[in-house]
Amino acid sequence: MCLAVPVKVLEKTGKSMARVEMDGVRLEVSTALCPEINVNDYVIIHAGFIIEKLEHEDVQEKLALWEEYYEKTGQKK
Amino acid sequence: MHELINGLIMNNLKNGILERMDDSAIMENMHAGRIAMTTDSYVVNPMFFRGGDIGRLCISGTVNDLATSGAIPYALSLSFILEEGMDIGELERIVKSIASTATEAGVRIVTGDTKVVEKGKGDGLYINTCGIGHIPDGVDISTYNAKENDDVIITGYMGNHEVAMVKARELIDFDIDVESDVAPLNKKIEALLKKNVDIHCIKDPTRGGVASALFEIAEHSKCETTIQEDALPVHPGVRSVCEIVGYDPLYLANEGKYIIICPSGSTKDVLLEFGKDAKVIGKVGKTGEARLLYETAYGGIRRMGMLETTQLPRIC
Amino acid sequence: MNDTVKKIRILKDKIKEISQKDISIMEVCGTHTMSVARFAIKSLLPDNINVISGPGCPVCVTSGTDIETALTMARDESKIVCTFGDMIKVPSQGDNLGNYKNVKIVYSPLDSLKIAKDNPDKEVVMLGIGFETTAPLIACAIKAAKQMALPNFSVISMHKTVPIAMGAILSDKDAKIDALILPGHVSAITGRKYFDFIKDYETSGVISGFEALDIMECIYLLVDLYNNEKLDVINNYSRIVSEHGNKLAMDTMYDVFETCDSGWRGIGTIPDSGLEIKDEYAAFNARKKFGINVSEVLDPPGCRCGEILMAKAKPSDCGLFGKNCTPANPVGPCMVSSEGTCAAFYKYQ
Repeated sequence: MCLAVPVKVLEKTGKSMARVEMDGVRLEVSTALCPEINVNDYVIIHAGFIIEKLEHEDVQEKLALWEEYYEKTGQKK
Repeated sequence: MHELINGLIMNNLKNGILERMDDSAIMENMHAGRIAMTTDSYVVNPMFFRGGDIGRLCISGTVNDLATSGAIPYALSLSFILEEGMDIGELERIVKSIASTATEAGVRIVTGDTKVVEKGKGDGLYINTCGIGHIPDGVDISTYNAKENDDVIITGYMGNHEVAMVKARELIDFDIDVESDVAPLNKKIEALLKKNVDIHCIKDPTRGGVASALFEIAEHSKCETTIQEDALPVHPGVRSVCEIVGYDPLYLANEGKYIIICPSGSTKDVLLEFGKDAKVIGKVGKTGEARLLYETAYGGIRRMGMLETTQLPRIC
Repeated sequence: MNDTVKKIRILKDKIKEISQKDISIMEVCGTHTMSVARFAIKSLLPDNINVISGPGCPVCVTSGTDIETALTMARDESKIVCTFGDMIKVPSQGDNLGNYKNVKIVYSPLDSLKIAKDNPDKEVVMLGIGFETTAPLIACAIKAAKQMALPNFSVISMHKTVPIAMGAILSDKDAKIDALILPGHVSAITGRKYFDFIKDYETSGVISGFEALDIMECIYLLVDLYNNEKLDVINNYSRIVSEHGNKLAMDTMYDVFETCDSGWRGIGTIPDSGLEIKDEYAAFNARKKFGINVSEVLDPPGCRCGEILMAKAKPSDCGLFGKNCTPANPVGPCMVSSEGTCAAFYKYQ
């Protein structure tokens, strides 16, 4: 339905535009639909527009299943 | 105009045979039991791109095709179809690139032709090259020779050429650090054969990419081939472009890579010859049915086929 | 072995362990169809779980009439037609957009605005395809064109919205769907709440991301809900999707567009399931600007794309599949788009 990928904001480049990066690729995208972004934010882009901010980590694990997994492997969420 | 072009070509490519301008080139006999021959026409838009140009491509493509059979390239022909009004400076850059690539590949251009067509009847320049080479005695390399338990090797990152072309065509306005991989590879194959390294198949994964080339080998050798997702070498920039516009790197064109299929005893030598980015990406399985399988890092398996159409940037 | 791989292997076993009943799970979104195929998800699932593809590929659901409308513009050499690459090879009566030099592939709607600015003597027509994720972007481009008073830019809106079409499918007696993998990036715009309506059809859904682990988690959650006869719409893509979505994007979309009846390939006209440009922006509506009037184009004979979109048939049930209809010579749009059900089936099975 819609191909969208996470990228990092490098700089704001004038009105409603930002320069973003994804490992080895840099491009300029519109911030018109998501104006409240900052440098270093991770965002999701679709067809040259930022459509949403990305939380840095999975904020909540929805699966109780992983509680046990993290306990066993001694990792933090 | 014609004199100017001829002068340009001769000055850069003279080798004792070409500049005689005889109707046919006369060479010493190759003293070979078997001869390999190939031809290709190069229609490249744009003619210059990061990492290469149509000149480097028209030599590399043809010598690489020859070397897939283990042949040592001996001589090439070179034909230009030029559109009237083609920039002479650009043509000179291309001829110089042809000369340096031919030197790198250790091959002579012994005969050629130039035709000029009316403006509007061509895209600047089309090139055709034809090559012959001799196959050393005892060498038997072909896409029909893959055997059970052979290793499948790719000699470096996949897809760099096509991504460089997409960038050069300005299809997408991205900054990327990716260059075309276009290069002649025949010297490396020659070195391996000199060391008597046993190789079963060599294929250059150009249009259609690694997956289409492997599928063709599977069909010719009637074997099952499995490649491993986590072994595939992809340049980070190429991977990112693929994610953003929806390409699959396994189907992107390469111009300086080989797929090499060999017994596992030869693998170390092949990897050493091609350097750190060369990787074993899979194994040949049982013979009988032609199948190309792709195994994901967590054990999922799916079949792959030939690329039927060019990939286009997509939103979905 | 990394964490993701370990987790996927655990889920593979867990799903097998908990799944007792036969269940048909539809992925609504075409990009999920691609992910399911690419990550070989089906090979990780037990036989009683049937994953089927829904109507979420914008190319696949675009009607023949809309494609003919786009072709009418492309046949006029004085115009430049801008489109996402997805539409290039869709056939209509033996023709497609790829046959015309004045058709330009763009990555972003902003590229088409730039083309319009750079070619003031040419009319530039952008093809507006896609769902709630893409429509706000096209709306932005139209608003920008109005602001810049760009006289030579217009859009053919073929946009569609998800809920009403989903409702039509879920209420169809012949389409047996037990649970839904809900589109991740549409939900980023619309929010989770937007999909609560599917509970009215006694169906649960989970909003999912596009990685293999995302999809396996989603299937696990759906199987669990189904086993326990619970009805819910879960957001399992909370790193991007919020409860109410991107309000600015939704507002922008409805500032420029209003709902209209829309023709879905193989399904027919579904009332209020499309988006048309409002009168306020009529100057940028190519249909009005150029008075385009195309007579209805029927689906090609033998093509079962419609039933495939409705999950009433599998690609292999279609007599054309793999014979007269291949990715190189597609008959129906499900074969054209690389995310189309038939193309994914052809490429990966």
